[in-house]
Amino acid sequence: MPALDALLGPRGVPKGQLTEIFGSSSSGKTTLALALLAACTREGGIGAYIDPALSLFAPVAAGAGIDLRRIIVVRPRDEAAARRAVDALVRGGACGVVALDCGDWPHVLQTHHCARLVAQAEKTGTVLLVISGGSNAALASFASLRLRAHGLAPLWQDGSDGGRRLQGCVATIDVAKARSTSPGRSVSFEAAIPDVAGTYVTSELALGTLHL
Amino acid sequence: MKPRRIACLVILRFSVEVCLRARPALAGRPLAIAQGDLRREIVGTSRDAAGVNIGMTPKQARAACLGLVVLARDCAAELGAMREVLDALETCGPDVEGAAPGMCYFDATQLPAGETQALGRALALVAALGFTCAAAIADDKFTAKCAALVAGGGVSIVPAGGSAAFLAPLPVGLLPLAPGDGDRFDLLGLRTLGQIAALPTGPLSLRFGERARGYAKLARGGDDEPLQPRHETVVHEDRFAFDEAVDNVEPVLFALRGCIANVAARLAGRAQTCDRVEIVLNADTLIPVILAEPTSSAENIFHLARIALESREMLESIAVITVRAAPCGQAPPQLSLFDGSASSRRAALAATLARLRAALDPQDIVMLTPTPARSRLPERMQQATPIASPQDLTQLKCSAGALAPENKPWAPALRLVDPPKPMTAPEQQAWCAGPFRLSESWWERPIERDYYQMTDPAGALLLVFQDARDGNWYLQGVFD
Repeated sequence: MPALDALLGPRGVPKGQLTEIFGSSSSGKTTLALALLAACTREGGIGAYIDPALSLFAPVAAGAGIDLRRIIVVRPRDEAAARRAVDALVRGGACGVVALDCGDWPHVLQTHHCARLVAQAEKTGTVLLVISGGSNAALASFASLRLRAHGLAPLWQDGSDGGRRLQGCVATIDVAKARSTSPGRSVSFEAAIPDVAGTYVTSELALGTLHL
Repeated sequence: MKPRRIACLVILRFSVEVCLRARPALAGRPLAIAQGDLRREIVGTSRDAAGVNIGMTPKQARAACLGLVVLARDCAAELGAMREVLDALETCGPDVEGAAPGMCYFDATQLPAGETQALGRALALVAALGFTCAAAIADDKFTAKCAALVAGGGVSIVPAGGSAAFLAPLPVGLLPLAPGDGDRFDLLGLRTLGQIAALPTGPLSLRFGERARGYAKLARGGDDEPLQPRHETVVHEDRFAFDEAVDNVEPVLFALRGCIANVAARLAGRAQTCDRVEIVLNADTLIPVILAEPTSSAENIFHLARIALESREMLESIAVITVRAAPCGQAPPQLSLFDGSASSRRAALAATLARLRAALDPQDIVMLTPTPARSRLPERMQQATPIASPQDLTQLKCSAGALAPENKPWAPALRLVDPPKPMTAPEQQAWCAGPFRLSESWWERPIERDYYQMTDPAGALLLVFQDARDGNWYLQGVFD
């Protein structure tokens, strides 16, 4: 996303620190997280996605440019397991990006957890990415970069046959907190919804261009 | 310094001899050995199988020789027989190499009994095992092999420095030729090794490329390939017995560090590595430690072993601790000088996965794979495979076209709801697209779904469907 690169400045997403992407449901925060993981795997790194809700959809992630063979997906069954997983991944230092999807557990990380994780991330240079609803004050305090996703504005199109199609949507992301750029700056993306039912890019999968 | 001397033993008709050892009743009958389970190609024949050539099909072979018995090649038996031969030859020389089925080398430099007697003894040893062989001694492996092949069941000794002269009259076909090169040599009128040795390398390289240099070197008796002595696979093991049983992890780790250091030193001393270490507590509890890459580093092994041990919830009273490591290959020399960063990354990955496995159920650490060919239903379009070993991730290479291009148009991610969550029927609203019919499995359990893209009252963009079978509505995913 070149516009996001311009928004964040030359430093981009800071390594060895905590970055929070927050917003309400259907705000575009997962899309942003997948874009960061795609950048990590494209450079040959290994990423991790902690997915307690089992919501990571492989065809969509592959379509976003993620090499899924370089992604460790952890599916913790409770909050304690999620904390153990993120601790192991950040301490290990093998993953360039560790994404924690808070999902249904908005307060999975408390202040002391954040302090420990940030200290470990600094040592290993891991990008600790937390996808949240934005209600966790500890995360807001410890994050050196906070990106707010404002929501996906759908673009409907009336078809010639009288039916309607979802042509695309517009997402807006602004910087809520940052050390390298001015808070309050925002950027909007326009996106095309994939084919049929909107679940995946049917044409690509049907043509066999995804050799996974 | 004395020039090296290498002895070569070639067991004639090795495949046939091995089969005859297992079925002595077939001795004296025409016999052919066919490769593979389907027995499609003859790879060996007995003396009595007149008219049968290597490469024939069994049908052709039977047509050429009445009463021919065709047997499948027994690779396991051949391996066992080769092991017996090599074991026996270790009494003749310190370094023994099994080069191919029925062919072996041993170091014949400065043999105290003399070369002729050493070869005679080797022939006697092999004959005692039931095989007939030819043997030769020369300055290099290629000359020794050629001498053994042309010896015709006897003994041949090529004097030191006489390799080129010995090889000169021999046919070109003895060279390890690439496909087609034999015919090209024939067209050029080059039929003996001496003719090739006499040619300048430049013009030969123009016609045969880089291979010509190798051919010329072999033909001049300059084969410099060293002996590759076999290493018997030995499982390195170290034990520590406590004076009294302990139930605290600290003394166990102390003992473990010492055992691992000893095992790693033995591996390093033999230039070997291992990719798996087993820790046995009290002779009955086995803790496997899987390494990211073959190593003999005590520090790396101990790091992972410590994680594996500390992750155990209960540590029973331990009286004896044993560490075992089976070598899996030779250590690449000074790899860390060139590949230090990659090596440390793999070690970090191994430690990370070990920590994850210790902290969570291993089934919860997975790698996702899209499976569009399996089903079109979103919840069945992916497969989660537990990551069994660090090699699953480190050995992967990106293939071209496997990823979406970097400049691909941006598309919103779908957060899957698996299994689909029942929801109340949405009210008729203006902003809704669909239905998009998805039908599947009509042959067993028909699935009919009408998909819609819609926004809910809170403004979230959803993917929902109505199941045509029961008329209920389900939430399939949320665009986010």
